[in-house]
Amino acid sequence: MPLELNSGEGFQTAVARSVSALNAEVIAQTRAETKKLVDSAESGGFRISPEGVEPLKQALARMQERLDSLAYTTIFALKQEPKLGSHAYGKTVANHSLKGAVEDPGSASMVIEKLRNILEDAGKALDLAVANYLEHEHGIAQTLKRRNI
Amino acid sequence: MPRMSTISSIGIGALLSLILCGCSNSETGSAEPTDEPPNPQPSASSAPTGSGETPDSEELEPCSLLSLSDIEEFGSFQPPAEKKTGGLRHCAFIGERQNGESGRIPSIGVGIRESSVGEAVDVGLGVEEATFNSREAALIPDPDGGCIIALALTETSRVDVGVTGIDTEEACQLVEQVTEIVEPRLPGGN
Repeated sequence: MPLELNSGEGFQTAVARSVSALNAEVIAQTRAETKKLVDSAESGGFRISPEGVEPLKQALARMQERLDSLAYTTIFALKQEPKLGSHAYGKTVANHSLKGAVEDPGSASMVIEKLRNILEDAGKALDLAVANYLEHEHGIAQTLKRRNI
Repeated sequence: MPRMSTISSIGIGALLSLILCGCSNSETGSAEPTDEPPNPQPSASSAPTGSGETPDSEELEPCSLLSLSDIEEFGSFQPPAEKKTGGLRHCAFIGERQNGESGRIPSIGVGIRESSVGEAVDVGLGVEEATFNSREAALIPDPDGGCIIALALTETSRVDVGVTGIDTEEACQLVEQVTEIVEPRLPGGN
């Protein structure tokens, strides 16, 4: 028996609503923390080896792929669901369903976009951290060379 | 060779101005009247379901309209997945990230919807009525990074070709290229 939601709404609408329910404040907070990570990496605050970063980059790519898929479903399928009819009730229900996917500041597609930005920042921080590592390694090699070690 | 008359004439610059000003474009909103009968007949060369019959949208398989090899020049994609989401039966080509690749990559979809081109939903940047190879069509840019071209199949059904995951302008350019592959495969074309 297919899943029937008590609210009577479609499964996809419910999914969109759940994604939208992610607290905008939490996302903003995560974005701010990720920015700090980028700032820290930019100022040489942390470094990581190319081997060490690989699994992290792979994990970020998998997360990006999940967002690619969610964005596809939201933008290509959900947002184009037709209106339920020209009568007042149909319009109200259709608008309400669409609101979660499209219009709200915390709408599914906007949340996906913000999460994408966070992942991009995280990727940038990792790239900088690798650059820091290589620079540091080069520095050590130069020092050892100068001391003939 | 782009054959989407109205969309080509609008150009991406105009699309951008739409994005920037967020207003509707009153100059380009008129559709070209089509010469087709209400239920266009499939042409003998392109109809996948046989010629001489009224196109049946329910018999059309979305994954028969586009293959991985058709779009390999546009990027890497996961194998096509046939899905049903709400009222859309679609074939999804989700972008594939190679070796931890980050950044924006396109995903492409082709879907059949039992609603008309005229029912295309404005998602924030307007709906541009158009024709594509003389077929009634609509361009639906999405401010969250995507673009759809809706193509009339019958009076009450349409085929949507969409690109998501990349900037709106880029997505609209790519979706036109993909539609050039898909449209000739639809029944009822010229």
